[in-house]
Amino acid sequence: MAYYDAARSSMANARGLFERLGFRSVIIEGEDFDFAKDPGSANGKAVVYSSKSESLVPYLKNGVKAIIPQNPETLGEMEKYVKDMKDYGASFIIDASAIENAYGTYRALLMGRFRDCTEIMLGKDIAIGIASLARNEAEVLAPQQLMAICGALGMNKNEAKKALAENRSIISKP
Amino acid sequence: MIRNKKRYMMVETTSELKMDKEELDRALKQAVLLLVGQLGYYDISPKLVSLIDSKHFVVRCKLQGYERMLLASALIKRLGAAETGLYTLKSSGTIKALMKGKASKDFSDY
Repeated sequence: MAYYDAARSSMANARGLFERLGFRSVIIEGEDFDFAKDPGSANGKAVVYSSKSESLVPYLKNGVKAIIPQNPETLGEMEKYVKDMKDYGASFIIDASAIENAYGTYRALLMGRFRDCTEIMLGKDIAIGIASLARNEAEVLAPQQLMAICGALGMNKNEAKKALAENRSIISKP
Repeated sequence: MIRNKKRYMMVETTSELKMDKEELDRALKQAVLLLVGQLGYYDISPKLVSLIDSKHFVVRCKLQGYERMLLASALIKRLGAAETGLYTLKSSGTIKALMKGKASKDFSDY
C-alpha cells in the first residue's frame, strides 16, 4: 500500500525526506492542495477549523473537501457537522502537528477529543486521513509513527493504513 | 525468569546531538517516562543500544510496548538540552537484521 503525507508550503524543497522515510510522495500546500480562506472559495479545498465561533456549514455547502480541526474546542463541535459532512462528502483530517506541538494536559485533552471524533467518523463511514502537515523538518513523521498516532486515537491497523493511503485522494486538488 | 521479546529501532534525529551515549540514554528514558508515565514505562523499557553517529542511534524496547515507543518517538521534541524531532527509519527483532537490508542508509559497517 502506498502512503502519502501532506505538508505546509515551507516543506516544498523537502520532498526527498518524505520519500526516504517511506512515503510514496508528499502533497504540498499551494502546489497539490490549498486551504480555503473563506466559504466562497472552498470548492475542492481543505479548511483549517480553528475557531469555534465560525460555522462549517457554508464551507460544506460550497464543496470543501476536507476538514482539519485544530484544537479541543473545534473538535468538540465536530459532532454537529457529521451529518452535513456525510451529505456533502467531506472528509476528516487528523493534523498530527497539532498533537506534536501540544504539551502536557492540553495534549491529553486534544488526543481525547481526537479519539472521540475518530470514533464518530468511523461509525458514520466518513473518510479519515492523517497527515503531519509539517512546517519544518522536526514536525515530519515516518509512516509507522503516524500509524502509532492512529492507534492511540482508537483506529486499528487497517484503518490506520487506509488513512495514510487515502491522504492523496482526500486532500489533493481535483 | 520470563524472557521478553525485544524490538530494535533505528532512529534518526533532525538535529545533531552533542551528547555521549550515557547522556542520550538518560535523556531518551526521561522523555519516554514523561510521555507514558511511570505505569506504562515498564511495558516499554527503552534502552539505547548504540550511538551510531551524531544523528543516528539504535534503541531497544519490549515487543509489547513497541507501538507506544513509536508513539513516544513521534511526540518527543526535545532530548536533554537539544531540540530535535525523531524519525524511525527501520525496526527489527534483531540487531543483525536491523543493520542489514533495505535501510535508507547502509549501517552494516557500524
